[in-house]
Amino acid sequence: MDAATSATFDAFVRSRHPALLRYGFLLTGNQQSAADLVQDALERTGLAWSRVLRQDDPEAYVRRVMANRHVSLWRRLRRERLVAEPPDRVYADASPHVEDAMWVALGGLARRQRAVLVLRYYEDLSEAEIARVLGCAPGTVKSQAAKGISSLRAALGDKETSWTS
Amino acid sequence: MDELELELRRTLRDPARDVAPGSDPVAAVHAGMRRRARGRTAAGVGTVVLSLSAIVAALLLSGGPVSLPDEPAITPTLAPVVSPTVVASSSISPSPVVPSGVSGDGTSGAPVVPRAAVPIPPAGVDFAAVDVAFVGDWGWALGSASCNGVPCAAMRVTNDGGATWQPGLAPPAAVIPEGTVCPERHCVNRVRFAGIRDGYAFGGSQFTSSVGLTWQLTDSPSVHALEPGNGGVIRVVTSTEGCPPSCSFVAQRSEVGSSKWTDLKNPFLSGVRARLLRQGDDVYVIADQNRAGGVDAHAQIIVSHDNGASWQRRADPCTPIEPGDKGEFDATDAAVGADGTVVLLCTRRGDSGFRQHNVRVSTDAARTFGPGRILQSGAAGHIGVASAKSIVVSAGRGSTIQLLRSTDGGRNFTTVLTRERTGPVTDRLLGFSSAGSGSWIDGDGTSIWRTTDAGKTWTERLFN
Repeated sequence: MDAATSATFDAFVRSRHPALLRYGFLLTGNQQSAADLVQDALERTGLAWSRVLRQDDPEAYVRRVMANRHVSLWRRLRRERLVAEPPDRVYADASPHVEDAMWVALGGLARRQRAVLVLRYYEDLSEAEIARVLGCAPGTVKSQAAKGISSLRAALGDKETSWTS
Repeated sequence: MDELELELRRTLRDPARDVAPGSDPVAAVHAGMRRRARGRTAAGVGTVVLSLSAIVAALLLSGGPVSLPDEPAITPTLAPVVSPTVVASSSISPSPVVPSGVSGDGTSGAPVVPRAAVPIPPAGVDFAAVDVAFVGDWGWALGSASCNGVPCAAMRVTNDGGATWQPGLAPPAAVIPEGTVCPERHCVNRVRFAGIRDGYAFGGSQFTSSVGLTWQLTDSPSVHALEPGNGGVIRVVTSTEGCPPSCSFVAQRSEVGSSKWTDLKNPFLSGVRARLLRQGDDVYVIADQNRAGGVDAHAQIIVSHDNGASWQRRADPCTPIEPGDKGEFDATDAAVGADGTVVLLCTRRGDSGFRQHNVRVSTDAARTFGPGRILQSGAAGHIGVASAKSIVVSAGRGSTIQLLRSTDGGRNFTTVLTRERTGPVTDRLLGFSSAGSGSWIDGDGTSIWRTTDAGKTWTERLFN
């Protein structure tokens, strides 16, 4: 990367780092994990910056990497840590953020379910777009979303299940 | 979307979940990139060494002659990482801004520095805008500035509707006033954005922007006018030798962001400059003539009501209003409102008298124009229209400049703003980007006046 290209990347990092941190926080539910996720995605993006700049919307690219890495990390942990109960839940966030019932319930979801809901309700992506981001079938997105919403309803005391596409 | 889903959306978008950033993220990211690059290079070398060992072992085992390649092609997977050095002018104070527009988190917009492949453009000082484009609350002002005492192109960007402006990225071209001979290889004087991702700077050369992070030169004929809208972009180009003053104009259409342009097969159109107006499927191209050409030098106007598929010629409606007036009037400015109202500012040729302008209004897509009214003002500069119920004209009077507004279709105008004249020209720009939102840039271009109530009230904001 030449100096000028590097400068555009630096500029991008400076300008979008806060928004990416927030997105990471929504995905992971934890500040430290969010920072790690953003750092990892930005490093990967930086190494491909010239290509990303030519072909893609840089921020959308980073967000796709983050969502994918977040879910992939869960897959890897499941492979590597053979325990009776797979680490399907994110660990508790000790950060001083607003703790409402919905946020707590979100913390109880599996990573992929949570990622699908964040992409759907925060990023406003369609099922097809979410499927492309996560590299899975639209049907998987639909079922994960339905399970996620159902889990939230259960946690919040509402047993009715629905999914608006 | 049911209550739970709405609550989920509210929770995810709650500003309380913003995360305070730590120390300089750029340094940390670059350090991580260097680690990854070293890791990849080492892995690449290791793979080659293993491969060579395997070849040697295989050959030894086979009993054949051992011959190794002279220079094994050990190619690192990555080029050496260059330390990030910003070759920016010391005149950069704040860092330029680029839009993101992806997140939907409402936090878009923040400091950034420029572009690849060309020297990093400085933000410059003494910014003076020549044009502005708005998409919702995002706005881009193209102008000139002073970079270490040398004139340079500059951009200012807002993401709060024009309340505050920060340095942005300018195309690598000279920014010159319209009608000025380009002193350099590439010149621009207009900017438009089709959404916040796809930008166009033009006025001779044409540059397109990718996410606002880069400006790339488009290989095109000379671009006189360009307007996004209705899902695509239409531009007016000329490739005529000796233009100006003798230009023939061709309208072309493209998808947003595409470099492929298709001729719209418009009727022959010639003149010294072309202006383009669009609203919905209605497209208007106005070609100004050299007014030294006498009575035949009226503007040529062509109109399309099907987004450029077919065209009709229209006569220049600028004519004298008062009985017995033998003067010639020319359409010196034109605009189209959000409701389709078309307005023309007609100016008496060669007259600097008090009653030198009239305003013609069409509410049927330029098929017919109303009878016109004399504008009781000094020398008018520009005309803008929010809707048939709000037409605004800028006009100089003595040492002041005024904005005059009509709420009755151009019959009567009242003064809504008066200020001291700030530049050698009356003003630089007047226009509306919606039925309520409009901009006015006065003579020196150092500030922008914004309205959000269709021109009733105006607020000044400084660029610098």
